[in-house]
Amino acid sequence: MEEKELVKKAKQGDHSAFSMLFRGNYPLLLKYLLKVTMNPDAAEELAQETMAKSLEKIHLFNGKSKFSTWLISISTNLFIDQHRKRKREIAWREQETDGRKLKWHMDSRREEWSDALSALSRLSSEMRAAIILKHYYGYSYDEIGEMLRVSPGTVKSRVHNGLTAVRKELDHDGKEPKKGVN
Amino acid sequence: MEKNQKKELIRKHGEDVTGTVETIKKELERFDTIDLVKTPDDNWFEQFVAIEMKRQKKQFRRDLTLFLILAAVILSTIIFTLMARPFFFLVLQAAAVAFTFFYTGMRLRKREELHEKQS
Repeated sequence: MEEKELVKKAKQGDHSAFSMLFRGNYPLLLKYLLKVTMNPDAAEELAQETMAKSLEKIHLFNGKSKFSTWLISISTNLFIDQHRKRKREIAWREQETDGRKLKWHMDSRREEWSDALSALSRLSSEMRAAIILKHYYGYSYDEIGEMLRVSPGTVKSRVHNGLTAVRKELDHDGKEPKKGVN
Repeated sequence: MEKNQKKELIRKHGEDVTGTVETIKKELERFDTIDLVKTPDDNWFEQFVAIEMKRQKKQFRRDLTLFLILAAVILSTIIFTLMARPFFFLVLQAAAVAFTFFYTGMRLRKREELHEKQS
């Protein structure tokens, strides 16, 4: 069944249409959240919150974008809200722990924790989200601005500063690791 | 600084950024191929939808009941004060207007502060 048809049925309250939509988009959503949060537990939790929110707000989905884009937008909003609620210092410490957790998960699967991933994990989550949305998922600055609820100019400067920080980290490869960029 | 030197610096910076973006993309593509978290089966999604819809319906009914009770209390208070204590009614109205102005001002100031922090 096509996505549009599924969305139409979901709007009428069809349970199986909802579960088919979620089943089809869950891997993409979870992988996006893993990259942004750098924490498998937090990513799973946010993915479930996103699905719950989309169930509640399905009548607001206008079908102009893909359903997956809408889910990514909701999850980004939830992630940013969650982050803003915490105090800056606590958030930074948690970020460090998240990076270490993910590194442990990668190590246990005998996968390399590269310098680029390490540099990304040290960025502030706002910068990381902006870079991932722009350069990995290919969204425009305007679209990212809407998702992060900031101006396109702010997104542009976050992407630029984030890339500069990652480049510096990569240039310093092998030297003493630096403190995170906030 | 000469024009050519400036151009060379800009070109070098552009190349560096492109290189960094490519490295990040390559690493994130590799990251996506690793199954760090499993996707649940179809049953799990069906159960999730059923439970969540039930919870949201319950929540809606609870919110609606609370709203109706609060509305009834507020309306009865207003009608009572209007009939029995007209002066107190005026004080209540003035307090409500003052609170609205104060609250809106606070929200606007907070939003401005947040905007300044972000930019």
